[in-house]
Amino acid sequence: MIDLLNVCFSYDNKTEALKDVNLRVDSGEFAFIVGSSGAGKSSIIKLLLRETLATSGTVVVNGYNLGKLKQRQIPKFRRSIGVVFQDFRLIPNMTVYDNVAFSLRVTDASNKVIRQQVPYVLELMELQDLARKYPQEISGGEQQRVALARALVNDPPLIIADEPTGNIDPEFSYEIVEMLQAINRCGTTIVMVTHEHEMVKYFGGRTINIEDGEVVFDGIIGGAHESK
Amino acid sequence: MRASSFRYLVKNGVHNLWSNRMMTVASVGTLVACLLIVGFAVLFSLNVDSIVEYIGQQNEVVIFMEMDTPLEYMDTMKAELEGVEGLGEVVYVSAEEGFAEYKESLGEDGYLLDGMEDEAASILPAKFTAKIIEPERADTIVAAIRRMDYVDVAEAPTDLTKTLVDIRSMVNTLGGAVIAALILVSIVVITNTIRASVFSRRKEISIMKYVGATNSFIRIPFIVEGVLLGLIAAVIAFLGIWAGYSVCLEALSFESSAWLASLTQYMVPFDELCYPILGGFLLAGILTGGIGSAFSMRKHLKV
Repeated sequence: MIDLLNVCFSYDNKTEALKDVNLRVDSGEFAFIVGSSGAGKSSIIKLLLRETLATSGTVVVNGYNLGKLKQRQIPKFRRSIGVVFQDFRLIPNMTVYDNVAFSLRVTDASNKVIRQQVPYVLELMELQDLARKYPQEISGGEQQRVALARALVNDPPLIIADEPTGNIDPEFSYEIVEMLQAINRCGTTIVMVTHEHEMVKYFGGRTINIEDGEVVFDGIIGGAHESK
Repeated sequence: MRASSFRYLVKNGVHNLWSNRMMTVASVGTLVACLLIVGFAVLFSLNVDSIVEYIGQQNEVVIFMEMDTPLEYMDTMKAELEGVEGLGEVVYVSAEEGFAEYKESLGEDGYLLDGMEDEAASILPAKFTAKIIEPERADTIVAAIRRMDYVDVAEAPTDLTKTLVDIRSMVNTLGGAVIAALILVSIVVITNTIRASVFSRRKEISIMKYVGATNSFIRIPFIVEGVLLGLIAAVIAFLGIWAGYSVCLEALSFESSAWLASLTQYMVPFDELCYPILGGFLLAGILTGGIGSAFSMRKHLKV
């Protein structure tokens, strides 16, 4: 699903953000990528979304070798991933319904498919009553659920969540992770990037710790809520 | 792309006009202002050209024949003059007719010439008058006439003609330069306004890219929006220029100065200009709106 082989990445100012990173996330896994600010988490996200290219090494996501991906193939590749961002990134002049439908629109889905899929996903995320609202009319937690619905509506094999709990109240944060776990149980691979170590300790599971551009820990930790 | 997807994108473009109404107003306003300025500059130039051309055409060349010119030669002379390029209608004025004209011009003192009609042919020469329809060639035309047989004197106000020709050429050159500069400034202003509009929505564009939208999928609504902006601006500017021109014509025709008022009849009527202006405005509006939008967003598509 995700393969990073000897990946190095430097910004234009020669800052070395990632140093010889080797990482593999298999299909159906749920993995947390943790690290403090500036550790290299954002660089990994940029590489996984093909926002940028690795300085050296190989990045393979969903079978696409991103280093060899042509510019015109990028949209097709991105449709194979669901993305959730910290700042939600909903389109402000579209309703909740249209924001979710947009993910299907870009795949040239028919109106019939859109009419079937969008209400289904909205209901799954308990957003059916907010369908006609605009992003600015709903809370942060609700906006993140809309972003999750948008990521999910295409039924992608992989969802990448970049600090999805960073901009919402703590009580909703755990709810979001539980939703991601529920999605994962249905077979979707989830990679969640976060700096909230406490939350990771609470949920447990595959945890990849990045410090100073290097993977310093990659293993499974026991979750606090499982031991309760 | 499915027809339903295309319809969605077009609908989206129309919807964006309203949802980004502040930028819509700014873009339409800028486009209207630029079209109006360029439009009025073009109209001004065309009218100055038309008036100067008319005044220039009022120039006449007067050809006095030698006293001993045989009468039967006059027809040959008339035919020769009619063959001169740049000359309009040629009128023959015999010595007798010339005498009568002169007597009439004396008004109340005309009686002084009473009884001299029979001697007219020995007092006054026959003459020809002809309009110079190509004022810029006045010097050459007069010189050519002077070389003809039996021509005693050929006179035309070539200095005035030259001045008018200079004015006309200056208006054409200056007007062309001013219009070109205005068009250039307009393109810069319009492009910047559209760029600002696209810049304010760069986040929206990047979101679309992250969910896998192709560049054309993102561009179409923006182009539709730009084209509609251009269309709206073109129609508003056309109505503005129509109203403005009519008001100007009316104001000038009621002007206390008879000379200014008389000029209005030589101004280009709006009926003659309305289709080219509307066509030009629509083309300029659609092109600047559509192409401006498409180009302004190129940078933001690189996500």
